[in-house]
Amino acid sequence: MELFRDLFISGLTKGSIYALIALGYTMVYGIIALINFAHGEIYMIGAFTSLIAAMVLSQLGMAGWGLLLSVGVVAVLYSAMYGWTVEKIAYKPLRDASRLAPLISAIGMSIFLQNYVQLVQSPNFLIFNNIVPDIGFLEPVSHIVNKTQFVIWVTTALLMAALTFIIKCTRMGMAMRAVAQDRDMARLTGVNIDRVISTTFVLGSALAAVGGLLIGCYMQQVDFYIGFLAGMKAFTAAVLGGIGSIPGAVLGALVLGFSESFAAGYISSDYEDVVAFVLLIVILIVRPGGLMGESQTQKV
Amino acid sequence: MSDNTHNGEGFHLGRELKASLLAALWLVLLTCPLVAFQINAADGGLIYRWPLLIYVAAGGFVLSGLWRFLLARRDMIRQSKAQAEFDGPAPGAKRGPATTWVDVVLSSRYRAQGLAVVLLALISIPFWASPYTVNIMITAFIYIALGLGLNIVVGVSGLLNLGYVAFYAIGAYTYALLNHYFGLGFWICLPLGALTATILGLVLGFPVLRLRGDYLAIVTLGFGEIVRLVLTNMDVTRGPQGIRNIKPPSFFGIDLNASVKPVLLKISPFMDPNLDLNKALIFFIILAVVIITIMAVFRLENSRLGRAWLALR
Repeated sequence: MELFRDLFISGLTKGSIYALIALGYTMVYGIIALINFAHGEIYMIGAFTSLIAAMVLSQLGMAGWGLLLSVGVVAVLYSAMYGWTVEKIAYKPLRDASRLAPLISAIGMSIFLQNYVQLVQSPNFLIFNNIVPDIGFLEPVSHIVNKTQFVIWVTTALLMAALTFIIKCTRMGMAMRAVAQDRDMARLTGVNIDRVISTTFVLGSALAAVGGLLIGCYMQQVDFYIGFLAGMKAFTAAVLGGIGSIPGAVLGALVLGFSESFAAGYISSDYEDVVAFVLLIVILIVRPGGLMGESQTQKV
Repeated sequence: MSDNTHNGEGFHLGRELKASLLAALWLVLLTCPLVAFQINAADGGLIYRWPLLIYVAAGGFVLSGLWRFLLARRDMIRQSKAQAEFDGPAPGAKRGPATTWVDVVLSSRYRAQGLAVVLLALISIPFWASPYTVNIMITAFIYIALGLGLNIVVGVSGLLNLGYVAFYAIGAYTYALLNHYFGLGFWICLPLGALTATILGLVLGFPVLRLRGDYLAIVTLGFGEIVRLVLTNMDVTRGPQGIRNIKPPSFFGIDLNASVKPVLLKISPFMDPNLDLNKALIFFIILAVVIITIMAVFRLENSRLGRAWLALR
């Protein structure tokens, strides 16, 4: 039972991180039907920016929650800028090209960003000092839930709520839903398509940056390659839940996190990644529309 | 980077320079944290590299200027073409379909001779080139064969298969494992590897091909990852260390480097004495594979199956 509890907790943590990244995939896919392969790299850049911001800011004398928050703000800002720029450079000129062209462009962007970070930072793993401060009321249960996991859950839940609010209740959210349903019609009614697409990229990248910061604190190491597998898993999660659907992405991410965690615990940790992809194939064959199938798909 | 500023208005130097300057500044802002600070992996301290930002700015300015210039030029060319089409063809001007020199060679009556010359030139490579060149050519030809195969899947039938390279790995590991554990030679493993990949392709293909478009892409991507992860985690394949000392292909049991090489060195004055003839043999094999593949692909595209593939799109 203790094993089950630990696996459940680590699955929930993994699932939360996947959810943060998967949302970016699913939002972009919902709006321009593009698999944004560079999204995993935005997450990786978020992790690196957090690492550097944490070092610089702590040298300037910051500490505690203030440090965590300001690092988060810096990482979100920079990743959002990267997301915006990537869209402008790699996808916008190809908006009217064939389906394959932006996809290849995305793969190229992903390789470019990986190599960029490898070149300007380091090809090796870097140590990421956990900057999450101690939480008093977690001390008695710290052998079960550590502070980083707790922060990951709370942050993810808050961000989901915020995102749902943005999409349901703001003008921009309404415009995003409109563009997802029918781009041409939205344009005819006066929606600024370019702005909506840019906002989608900015929002998705911001969420990925938070994921990057949190995974850095959780795993305590980063390298330039972490974005690849995380991006693939997150996209798997988005497809699992039915791509284009926001609750679907969260559900898919949690399913993926749990199944990976339990597979690692009960089968073999060597094959936890294999389990994720086998699960993906099985679900897509059984339910090609994903868990939250087409009928109730609510595209962003 | 935005391309709505120069729609048919030509190329204004001042405005373009200002835009490039802004792009360069944006690039500096964007790359500032990752370029200006580097983490010293040894002691965990920070290394400051502010001067690098100057290079980033200069590079960004030049590249952005070039990019904008090319975009403007493209628009101008498009515009003049549209204008020309609007005006109708000039009297006496006759324009056929666009041709490249490859088309010219292929459609001329010297086609057979031209192809023979190219073939002979390719065959002669190991007799004068350095071992390095031969290695590069082998890699290039492997990519050609891979590209031809991928073109059938993605290009002709339009199925976006991102796990194609998994079959490359399966073929490689079939030979490696059979050679390592059973001592089988290259020529037996060549069809066996193709067979294994075919069987796995069928196993993957039947359930997965019901999916379309992006779902197919992600499932095949997942399949590729499964193959990679399984191969790097199994004990049989010795994990990430891989299998070493795989025997190169044999040539009717003749030791090429001992018996044939001295003869060849005498005949051909240009031949590099450092060349491993087993590498040269691999070069000829892959050359033959590429030629056979090209011929097979051409004939398949014009066959009943090929038309069915085209119809799939």
